[in-house]
Amino acid sequence: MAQLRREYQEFIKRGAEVIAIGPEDRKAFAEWWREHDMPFVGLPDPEHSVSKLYGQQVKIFKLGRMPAQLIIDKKGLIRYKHYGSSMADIAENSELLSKLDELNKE
Amino acid sequence: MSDIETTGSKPAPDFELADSEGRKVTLSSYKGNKHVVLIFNRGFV
Repeated sequence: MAQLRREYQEFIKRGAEVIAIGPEDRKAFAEWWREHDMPFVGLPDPEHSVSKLYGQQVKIFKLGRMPAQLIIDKKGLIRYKHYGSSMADIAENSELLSKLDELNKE
Repeated sequence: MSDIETTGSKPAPDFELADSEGRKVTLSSYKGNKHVVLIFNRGFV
């Protein structure tokens, strides 16, 4: 998350918004978000409604509740997904940014 | 081993949630305007 924060402007330059969804309750999430001064959109989802929705429809979280990253293009289509097999298995920003570059060339 | 896939044209399921400040955010509101990088975290705290 710290790396995302540092490189947030690179995502903005490529016409993207970053949205992070976490399982904490609203209060704990909001406190964490403010404390770390996160510049992008943060959505607490204590009922796991969105992760369940994506688990069922996009088939992420096959291996349990692991981190996942998706890119949704301007047409609302899923163009990239990465789901981790461990807590540390997270797509590199460079990979996300190069995918956005590809989308912008279309 | 991680599992990376590039999907062709599957529509992203829409959702609406309130952000950390209580403002409603709807995925489909970005349509036609911005790409969205959606990050699911297992937990921050």
